[in-house]
Amino acid sequence: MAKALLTLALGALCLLSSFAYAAAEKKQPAWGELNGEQRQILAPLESDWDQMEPQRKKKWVGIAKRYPKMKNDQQQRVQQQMQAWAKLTPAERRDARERYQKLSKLPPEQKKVVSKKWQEYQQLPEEQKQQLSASAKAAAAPTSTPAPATR
Amino acid sequence: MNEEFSFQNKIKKLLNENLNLESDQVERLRAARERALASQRTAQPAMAMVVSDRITAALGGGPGFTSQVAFTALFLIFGMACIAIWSNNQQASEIEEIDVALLTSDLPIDAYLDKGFDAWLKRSSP
Repeated sequence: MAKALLTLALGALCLLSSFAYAAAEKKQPAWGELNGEQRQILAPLESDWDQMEPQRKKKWVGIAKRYPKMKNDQQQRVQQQMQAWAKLTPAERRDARERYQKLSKLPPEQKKVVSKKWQEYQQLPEEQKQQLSASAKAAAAPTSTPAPATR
Repeated sequence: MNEEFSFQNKIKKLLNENLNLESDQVERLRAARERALASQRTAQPAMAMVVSDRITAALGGGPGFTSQVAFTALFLIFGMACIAIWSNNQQASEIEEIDVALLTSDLPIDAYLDKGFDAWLKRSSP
């Protein structure tokens, strides 16, 4: 009898926790529900906010929470890049994260070199940049070509 | 039947021949027989219960079986749900960390997306 009650209680707990989790995941604030500070920080995302998936909203709310603790120059960078970042496709964001993680593992001197190289790259003629991009895509093609789909 | 009975009597007679037991010996034998019978009576049901339990368990039944299985299954489901929720939260928090670091890094987002820059870096690195 006690075991049956315990089973019932556990089942109810299980169901309740699943519902609570699903509700929490689904219920992320609409733009109008954000507080004044959050709206100010996330202003570049205003036009996209209500179409965002709950998980992305949750992430941006998390970033807004960290924002006051950032240095001034970091806050500026976040503001400048926020909108462009939000407009990327999920695949582009994934690629950028992977690339960032790879570069962030470099020692500090090499990171400085990468920053310098970026400045140099910006100065290259557009034609050369396109050639470089085409060569990179051609090099990646054999590995990125999907195998014939079997499913 | 009568033939069998007389045969049994003959054997009993032969076995009892020259068997002059003292009364205490008879008493001890009787007590031993009683003990043997008593232990046989208790052993049989115990054995039957073990066998019956094994059979019911093998067939997937028995008292308390359903609630035990349900309890274990629910416990497993609850555990798995907890692990999934934890892992999901962990993943979301990792992505948030990376995004914050990426958005505040010295390089702009384009630097992480531009394939041409990637090739330029590889080409110009010693």
